[in-house]
Amino acid sequence: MPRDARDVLVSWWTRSVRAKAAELGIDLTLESIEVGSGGIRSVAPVVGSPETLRIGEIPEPEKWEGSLARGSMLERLQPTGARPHVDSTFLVIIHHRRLLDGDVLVRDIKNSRLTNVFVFDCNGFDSASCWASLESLRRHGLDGVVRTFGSAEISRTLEYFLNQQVGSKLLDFARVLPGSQPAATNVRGEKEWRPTQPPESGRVAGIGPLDRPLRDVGRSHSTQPVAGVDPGARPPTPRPSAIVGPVSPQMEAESVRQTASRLSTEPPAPLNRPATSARRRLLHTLGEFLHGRILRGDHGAPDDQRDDRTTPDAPEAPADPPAVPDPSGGGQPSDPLPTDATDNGVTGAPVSERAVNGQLVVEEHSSVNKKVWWSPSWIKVPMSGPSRDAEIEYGGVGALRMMAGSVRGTRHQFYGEPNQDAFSISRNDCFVVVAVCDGVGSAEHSAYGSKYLSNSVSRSLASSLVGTEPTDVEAVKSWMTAAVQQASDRVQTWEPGALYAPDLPTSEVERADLSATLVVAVVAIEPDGDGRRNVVVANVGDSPCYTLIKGIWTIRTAPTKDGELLEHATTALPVEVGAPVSLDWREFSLQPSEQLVVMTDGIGTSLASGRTPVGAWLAERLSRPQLAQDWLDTLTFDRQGEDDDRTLVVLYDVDHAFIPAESSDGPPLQPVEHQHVSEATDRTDSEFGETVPESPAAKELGS
Amino acid sequence: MSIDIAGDVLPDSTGGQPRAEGGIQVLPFYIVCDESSSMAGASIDAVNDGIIELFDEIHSNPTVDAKVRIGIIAFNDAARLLFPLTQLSDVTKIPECVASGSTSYASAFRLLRTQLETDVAQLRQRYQVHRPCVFFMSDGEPNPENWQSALDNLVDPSFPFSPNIVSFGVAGAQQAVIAQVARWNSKSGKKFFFMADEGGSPGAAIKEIIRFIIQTIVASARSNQAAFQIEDGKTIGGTGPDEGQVTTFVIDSL
Repeated sequence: MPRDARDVLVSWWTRSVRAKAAELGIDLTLESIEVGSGGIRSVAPVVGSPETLRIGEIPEPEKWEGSLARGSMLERLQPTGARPHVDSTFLVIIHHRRLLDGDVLVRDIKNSRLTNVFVFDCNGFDSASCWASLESLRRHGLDGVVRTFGSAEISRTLEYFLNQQVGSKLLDFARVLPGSQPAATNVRGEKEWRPTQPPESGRVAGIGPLDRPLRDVGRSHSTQPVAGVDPGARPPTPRPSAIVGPVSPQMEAESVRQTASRLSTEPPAPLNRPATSARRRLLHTLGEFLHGRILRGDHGAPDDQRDDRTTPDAPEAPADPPAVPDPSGGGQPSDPLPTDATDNGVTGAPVSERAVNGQLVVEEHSSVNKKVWWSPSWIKVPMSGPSRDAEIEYGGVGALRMMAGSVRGTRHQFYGEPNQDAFSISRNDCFVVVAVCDGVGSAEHSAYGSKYLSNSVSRSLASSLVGTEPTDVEAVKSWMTAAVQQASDRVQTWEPGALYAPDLPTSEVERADLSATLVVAVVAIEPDGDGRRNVVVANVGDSPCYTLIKGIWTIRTAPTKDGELLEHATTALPVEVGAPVSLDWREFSLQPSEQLVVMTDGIGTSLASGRTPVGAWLAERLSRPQLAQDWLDTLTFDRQGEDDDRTLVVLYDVDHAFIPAESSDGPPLQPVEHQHVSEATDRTDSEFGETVPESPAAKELGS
Repeated sequence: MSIDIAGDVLPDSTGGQPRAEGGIQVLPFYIVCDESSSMAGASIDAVNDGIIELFDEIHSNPTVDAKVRIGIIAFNDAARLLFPLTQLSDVTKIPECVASGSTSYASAFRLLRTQLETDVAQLRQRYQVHRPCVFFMSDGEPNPENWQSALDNLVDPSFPFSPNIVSFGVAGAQQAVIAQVARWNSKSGKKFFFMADEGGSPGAAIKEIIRFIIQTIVASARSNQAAFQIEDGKTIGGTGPDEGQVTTFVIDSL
């Protein structure tokens, strides 16, 4: 530990905390523990064992530099040991350069079930795992305050941290404990420290920063009274001080669920002391977060816990969600998980975990989600122009419904670059036109290219296709070619600074810097006599178009051959002005219950043949109508290694796309639909070949 | 000229488990570092500082952390594995090199081959794995042993995970030897190695080399393609008192 940090710690303890404690008649013990071997070296004074509170001497700083084997921290913290007690305050000072294993630290703290844990990192070393682990501690209700500071700031910031965060909390915490009223003679004003009778002034007289209203300590973000409890009489609870935003019952239930699952292998040890009312209040909060023992409603809370909940002086947790802020902002789940198999033991639809930043996790959360998004140097705003982090659209025409969305990939978020994908949906009375573009990563102005191309193609097509018969495929194709050609030419001319356009004059931007792929689908709004709709798809580059029926994906655009996904050189627009564009064509008819799914390779690469984890997950998501938050959840799913922009447009017949739940176990609703399904299934085997356009439907369409 | 350092993706036919469909692409890098006694002092310090720098860089960049897998092998009389191909955010303790002993290239190549066999096969169960890229760094002449056959065995075309090797020579390393170690499985038929300029401090050169390796890894993960621009005879590093100069050589493979 750096010398200056030691000096600050010693000075804080002796001059500030201990003096203050003596003045208040509270005994405090400070003990130091050296933790770890090689990887971790921490100094951890343990303060305030409530049963034998006494003033202890701070050990020589040099003695802190011992070496205990890893695991000893765990041992020392186990509540079954004589000390430290679960009510102890624990201060971890990380000072070793090579500390990386935040998870070990966090595991130990979790296992210890300590609730007042403060972590200070002298190095300001915010390794991804360490940061995320500490954040998760905080989110799960431990009262630690995580701070990381640059090493140049150690003295000043540590002093501030100790005084402002730890000191007052420590005294406040210790003095409300019944155990802090031993029969020893050194306790003055015994009555004064009963939990129901805080000091009249509500203040601790004395030392600088510690001189704060006591009732505010520990819940400085919350001034809401708790139902049934006089705010003035309520002991300060060890609520997470760093939490911001209201906690919904679902969030809390989720927190409890996660905590319970985390601790499931190690049931909480019973507390071996009679719980006084003050203690119960205290432990209510601890238990709620730490042990997952306070469960909502009839979710199987054991009887003794129900009793605990109905104890008069226990807060009515469900009725009055405390105004506890939420550290992850939007990150906490705001809607219940699709199915919670842990509730009733029934395995239903897959349960997706939420990442730190709130996204649904597929397989394994990504490295980006090891930190909260507002961590320093994490998600960045682009230098200029809109980042377009999320754009969604939805709506319907006739029986068709469509949902579309584009989200900025984590790579672009991290590097402060805009979303380079774009989509545009237009329609006239007969057709819906879906255009999706993927800006080429290495092209500097491809965000503009993709935005312009998609917008231009879909709008001009919707206009030019007026009067064209849906069955006249050749006419449709020629209009599509014309629209793409026009967009390709026009995208190369702009007024500098025009909407989405580069700030540079046309002459200073290479054509290749605008490069984007394009997939455009023209869909007839009205179905034919069999309930099918003609679809014509044109492609430039690798943005794929799929159809989805009963969980089976069929790729409709260029086949995804082995290794092809890793071809980096993709054909793209715009082409040289005057040169003809070259489009890949696919025509097919969309079955009544079939969904048309157009996307960029940000999703396509992991969807691949559809027989993939993402394919299964996405099919499940699309098996029911979605809107707004649900749809955004679908787009923003988190998966390790996926960092590209994503765009997804889904189009379906609302009358046929979703099979009602009650008939899901029985045969399909209509014989005609069954026939279509079989056909689609058969086709799937040859889906990657050139056979798709030769399907009966396509032939029919062609004729 | 520009090099696709990410290399090709190992096709399904390379044996072992086929790559996971729809899996993400990962770029495996091995750093093979000399820790013989001649490295003692500034050189080994530069290596150890460089390893910390590498960790710092990867930890501060989630998109790189997600895509690259890095392994480190150090060698002197024998080779030892500091850690196998790993996502660096999973590493709990940064390893350290200690200078001692001789310079056995053969043991390094043998261990590398063994490790690649297991590491890459394991990765391929979940990911689409690019061809491994090895950064080989040495400051001296190899022991008098048949290291060439160990190298041949490593880069044998029949070995499905045969890596690309970019080699770096500092101090007493012989240019001919360092050139011989370099390998590149590209259509261009070129291969690449770097020699520290004579007269410069080896420590400073190693610092530049590791900085270059880190930049390469980051750029590779960012683009999945051409990760660095290399020109024959061009130096990397600066000319300041604490900076080393390392000259690039691009040669046509035979």
